[in-house]
This record gives sequence, C-alpha cells and structure tokens, in this order.
Amino acid sequence: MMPTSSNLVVVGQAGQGIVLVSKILVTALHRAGQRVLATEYPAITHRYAITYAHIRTGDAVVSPRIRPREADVVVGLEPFEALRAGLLFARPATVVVTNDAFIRVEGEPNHLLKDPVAIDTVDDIVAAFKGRGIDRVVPIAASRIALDVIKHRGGANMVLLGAAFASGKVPLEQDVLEAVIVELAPRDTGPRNRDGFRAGIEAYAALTGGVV
Amino acid sequence: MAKNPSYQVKDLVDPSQKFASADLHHDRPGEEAILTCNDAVARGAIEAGVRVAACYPGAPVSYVIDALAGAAGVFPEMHVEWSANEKCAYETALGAAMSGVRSLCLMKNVGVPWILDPLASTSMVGVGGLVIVAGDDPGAETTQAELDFRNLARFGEVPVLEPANLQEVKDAVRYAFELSERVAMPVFVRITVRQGYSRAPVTLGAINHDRRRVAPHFVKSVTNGWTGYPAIGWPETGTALLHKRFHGEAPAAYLDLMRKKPTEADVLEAADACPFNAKSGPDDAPLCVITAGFAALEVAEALDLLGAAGEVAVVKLGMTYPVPPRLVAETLTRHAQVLVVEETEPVIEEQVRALASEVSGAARIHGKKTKSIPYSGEISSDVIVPAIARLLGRPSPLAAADAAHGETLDFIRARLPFLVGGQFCAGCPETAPTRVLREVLDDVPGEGIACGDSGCGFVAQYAPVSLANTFVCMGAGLGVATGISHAGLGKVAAVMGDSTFFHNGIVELINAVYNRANVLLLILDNKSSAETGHQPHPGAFGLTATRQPTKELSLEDVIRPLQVDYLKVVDAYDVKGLRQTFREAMAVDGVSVVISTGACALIVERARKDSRAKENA
Repeated sequence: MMPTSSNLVVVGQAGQGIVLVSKILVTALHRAGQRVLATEYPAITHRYAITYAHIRTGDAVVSPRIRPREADVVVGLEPFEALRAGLLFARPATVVVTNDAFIRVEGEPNHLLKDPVAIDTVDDIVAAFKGRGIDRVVPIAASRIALDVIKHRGGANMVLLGAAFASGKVPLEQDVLEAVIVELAPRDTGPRNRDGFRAGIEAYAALTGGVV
Repeated sequence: MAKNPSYQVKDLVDPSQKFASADLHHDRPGEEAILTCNDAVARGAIEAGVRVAACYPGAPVSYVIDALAGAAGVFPEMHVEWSANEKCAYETALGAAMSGVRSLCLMKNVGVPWILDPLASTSMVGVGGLVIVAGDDPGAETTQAELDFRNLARFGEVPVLEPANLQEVKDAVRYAFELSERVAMPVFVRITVRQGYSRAPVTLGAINHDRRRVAPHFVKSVTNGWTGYPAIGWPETGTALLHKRFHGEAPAAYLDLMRKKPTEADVLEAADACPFNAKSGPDDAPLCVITAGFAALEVAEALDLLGAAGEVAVVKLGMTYPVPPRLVAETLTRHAQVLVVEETEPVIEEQVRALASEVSGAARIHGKKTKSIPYSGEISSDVIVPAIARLLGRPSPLAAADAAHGETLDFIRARLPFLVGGQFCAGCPETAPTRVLREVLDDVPGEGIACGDSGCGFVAQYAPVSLANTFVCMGAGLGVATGISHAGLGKVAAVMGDSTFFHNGIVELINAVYNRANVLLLILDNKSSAETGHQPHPGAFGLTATRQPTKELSLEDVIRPLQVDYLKVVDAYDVKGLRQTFREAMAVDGVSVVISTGACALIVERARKDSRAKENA
C-alpha cells in the first residue's frame, strides 16, 4: 500500500543533478494533489562538495527540513556522500539506495578525509551503514546503467530515482512521475531520462526481488 | 569601449531553471503554483507593481533577478539589473524610489554590510516604496560569516519583516512596498538560506499594473527633498533634525518645513498592525513561545511532536525590528514564562527584555541569553523540542533519537573526520593559474604569502591547490596583501575573480598603486559570476540581466590606465606561459597584475550540449 507521507533525502556531490531530482519530486507530488515542501542544500557551488535536498510530503508537514534519523528514503548519488548524509538522517527502517560509483580525486574516494579510512568500495559503505544499524542499503550501478540507457553517466540521478520509487517509499503513481521527468529533463533528454528511471526500477527489483 | 562580446549566446546566461521560473508575470490571482523562494520574492514584487529591481548575485537570492527578468520582457516599463555590487544595487533602487516608482534591491548573505552608508544616510529622509530583501545564513552554510543583518537594520532604524512559509514570503514582499510607502522608509524582508532554497505551493495574487505604470516624478527641494543634509535648522543641523523628527524630538518651529515622515510612532504602529503577526494556542497558557520567520515553522513542528499545541501559546511576529510593542507587552503580562525562538542573534529577545522592564509582573523570559536556544546554527525542531519540554517539565519525545544521533555524530567525528575543502571542476580555467602560482611562490625568494577572495577561486585555499593563506570577504584579498607588503614581508600575492574585480577590487587596486604596494594580483577571468550561477557582469557576456546587448568591459583596458608596474594577460591553460609570467611579475618591485583568461568550463560544456541538441533537432 502506498504511504501517505514520506521524508526523502537526496544527496550527492555538486553537479550530480540533486536539485533536478528535488524539482521533479516536488512537481510530481504537487500534481498528484499531495501536500509537499522541499528545501535544498546547494554546496558553495564547487565540485566535490556535498549537496542534498529534503523533500517532505504529508498532511502534517509544516517545515521542509527533515529531522535527524527521520528520513524514509535516502537517495545517494555518490556512495561516500550517501554515507555522510545517510548516517545523519537514516534510522533502521530507512531504505538507502546508493550509486556504487565513487567520484575519486587523485585516486581517493574522498580526498578530504583527514585520515585514511577503510572505505574503498561500495561494500565498505554498506558495511559502515550496517555497523550503525542501517541494514536496508541497496547499491545500484547507477552510473553504468545511465551510460548504457541514457548515454550519459550524469543520468545516474534518474536511475536512482527509479530505484527509490521501486522501494515503495515514494507516494506517487509511476505515470505521474514519468510525465514530470519527461517534462523537466533538460533539452531533448526527457525520453532517455524516463528510460533511465525505468531501468532503475528494474535494477532495484533485480537486486532485492522487490523487497529490502 | 565597444568590444566584441565574449559570448553572444543568450542561453549561456540562463541558469534560472534550477531555482527560478521565467513565467511569473501571468495575472492569475487565486492560482496555486509550486514556487521556489526566489520565485516567491519575485512574484511578490511583481504583484506590488515593482518598476526597478537591482542585485549583486549571491545566496540565497541569486535567482530573483532571473525570475524578474522574465517579467521585464513582458512589462516594458520595468528595469531589472545585475549591479556591479550591493551598494550600486541599493542606490539604483533608492534613486528609483526617489522618483516615485516602487523599487526592489536584493542582498545576499553578508550583502547588507556593503550598503550601510547609503542606508543610514537615507533611512530618515522620507523615501518610500523601497524594499530590501536580504539574506541571512544561520549555520554559515554558504558564507564566511554567521551574521544577523537585523542588527544592521537597527543601525539605520529600518523596519524588518520576517515571513515564515513561502506564501508569506510572497505576500510579505508585496506588503513591504505598501508599508515602505506608509512609513516613508526603506523596509527589509529577511530571508534565511533554508527558506531561500525551499520550494512549496503558493497561491498567487493580483498584479498591480497601475502602480508599475505610474508616471515617475521627482521633488527638487533642499529642505524637504531627498538630501540627508536639509537646509534647515540652527543650532541643530538639518541632518540631526531628521533624526529628531523620527523620534518626536524636533522643535515645532521646524516641523512645517520638513516632511512629516518617517516617524518612530508610525513604525511602532505598523509593527502592531503587521498582518503577519499571529497568535495561536490558549490565551491563559503558562508558557508562550515568541517566534518569527522560518523558526516559526519549526516551533509548529516542535509543538506537534510534543502534542502541546493546545497548551502552549505561540505569538508569531511578522515584524521583528521593531517588535510590536503592544502585542509583546500584552504577551508578557498574560503568560508566566516566555521562550523566544529565533535564528542567529537575540534581536527579538533583547527587544522583548527591554519591553519587559516596562511591564509590571512581566513573564520570565527564556531564549539565547539563558542558553535555552543556541546562537549558532539553524534552529530546527529537534533543538526546540527539548527546550519546550524542559519548560513544561516533561521528558523530550526526541530524547532517544537525540541520544542515538549524538552517538552517530561521535562516530562520524572519530571515524570520518573531514578536512574542509573543495576542488575546481574538471577543465576549470582556474586550476592551472592557482596551482602554478603556488608553485612559483614556493620557489621564488620571499614569504610566499597569497591572499584569497570570494568566487570559485575560494577553493584555492584548500588542498590540493593550497594557494591562499587568507580569506576575508569580497575584494579584501588585495587589500590584505597590500597591508602585509607594507608590514615588510616583501612581495605578496592576491587572487580574485573577474566579477569581484568589478565589485570593488578595482578600488583596492587603485589604492595599491597609489600607496606603492608591492603586490601581485592574479585575476581569474572566467567571463562570468560563475560561483553564483554564471550571471553576467560588466566584463562578461556583453548582456544585461534582461539579455539585452550592452558594452563588455575588457579587464586589460580598464586596468592599463591605472599605471600598474606590470600587466600581462595569459591563457589560463598555458602552464608554461603562466609559470614564466608569474616569475616575471614576482620580480617586479611594485604592483603586478596578471589576468588569466578562460571561460568557465561549465559554460563551454553547456554551449556544447546546446549545440548538439540543436543539431539533433
């Protein structure tokens, strides 16, 4: 059964299309007649800086800001940022869908780490979440799927939106969301982004059997 | 000088799709639309009949001008501009207001300090229809200072409105124009970063086309015109008389010679009559929360979590400087305890405490002064819930979640400690100049000091570039470098962007030349205000905010007459040339300027994508 309220966190690095995902979700939820509020945390507009968005829907929502440990879904466009934000906003019941592709600078998953931390692979990210009691983590090969389906790695945001939708935590009908994707995707990329979204749904189902 | 504009493609300077809409000019009252906060500000101004709007870009108001530019394309009498800096923006709006048309200026976080002189010099002269929408940044998410501009509004005694949700943002901006005309003063509207980057449904109102189309007029009078030095008064000065009139202290002999407004009495009356003041909860509740702005939304969430909406009163203030005196006094007499919840400085709280000293049996006041609410950071419901729970004498429903979150924060700090930093984008024209300058500074004799500045070059202070050793504010890098050189530490480097140079860096350069500083200024000319969203500026695009062709100033042509001791323009991707140029420039005793040229890689990439999409079509 579709939930009637939801707290969604979308996180990644600046330039990965986080604000576009937020805009799509807000537009679709509003079009579906739901009360929706959102707030976005754009980085200081430079690369490799964390950017995230909070999207909240439900009759009781007054502030767009999600409290710590109250996200229903965390969508991570970059695994390390998924961990950074996920640890703050996820609780054991939260579903985390994350890209499995790191953005590496000079060979490091995140060159800003003060000390070496044993997080080199997405499995390490999943383990780090599990170590904090967050078990429902689904890594998706979103950048690779985006390259195959959308013909651009930058489409990973739509693939992960599809995966998040497949988790059942996004209270929307698929056709509503797809129509908004086609409408708001830049230039002539609407249909390809919709296909990427569908590929994300399939990837989630293939990994989880539809259940996390 | 008429030069060939560097970029003629209008689409290149259209970053507005992210945070602003271009179709806010439709007169569809009653219609609900999803707006961003920047849209809501723009729509409020459009509904009010704004005629002139000006801004220097920066969070959280960078995109209001983009939204207004769409309307200016439909309403020919509108003028919308990107100004060279905030002072230019304020003065443009001021001049328009002095001409009888409604005008708007927008201030980024830490933007208001740039207008304090003209603001304080005009707040008493009687000009109305002038609205300043200004940003604050609780938590210092996007700026170098977690300041509260309301304290600066107090400096000029200028009223401040604080809307809560986006509907109120739109309505408060519209109302601010009416208020400004009524009290004959500029009026601030406070927007925080959290509001500034939010989205929500907003119901549109009617557009006041008549007010926008009003014929401009100008009063030329040296006694009751627009001068801050009116030609009246002895032994008092005319300027002091303006201040005396505001506070009801002017001698009667002069009142007939002066404008009747502004007066403090009118402002206080307006504070109590503000339509965005609201009371909720029981009148006889022992505890009342006084709040305003975005914090009011968080208070509502907190009371919902506590299940205490029926037992705690809430007074939401629409005007926070000055606070409504009668409403606050009444609140202080009605409740035993008052908790003041606001973001950043205790501006409301200090006024409430001052009023409490005049109220017999006033409530006990809690807030930042009692450490119930923190000064720093966003004041979210998870901060407010424990504070209210303590005053109600009950456990916080968030106690377990707070404890778990605290453990997570401990884990993050212990296991995932981050250095602050960033990185230029792939292909960025600022990478090579900043890296090579650091390499040269480390190699040539001297202290190797470099002073940084705002803009994308901001990240050059962090690893792996590690160029800049100071960061102050816009344009300050060269000024600080000048001071370090005069202190006797040899030749010092400074780095700034092209937009910052036009903002105020040019004045710093003139000062350095005049005072014979020993500095090297590197200007990273990426042909836009890139960090804030690729807005045009006097040296970029050759386009105005409304995408009309204009003159594009060449940095080299502007700087050459300033008589610097060394000036060279280098391709930003020519590593050898950069290295050679920096070595030459550092060897010159005096003021050296190096301009590295290369358009922002994101602009180039966008142009490529646009071109490909057109080909495919």
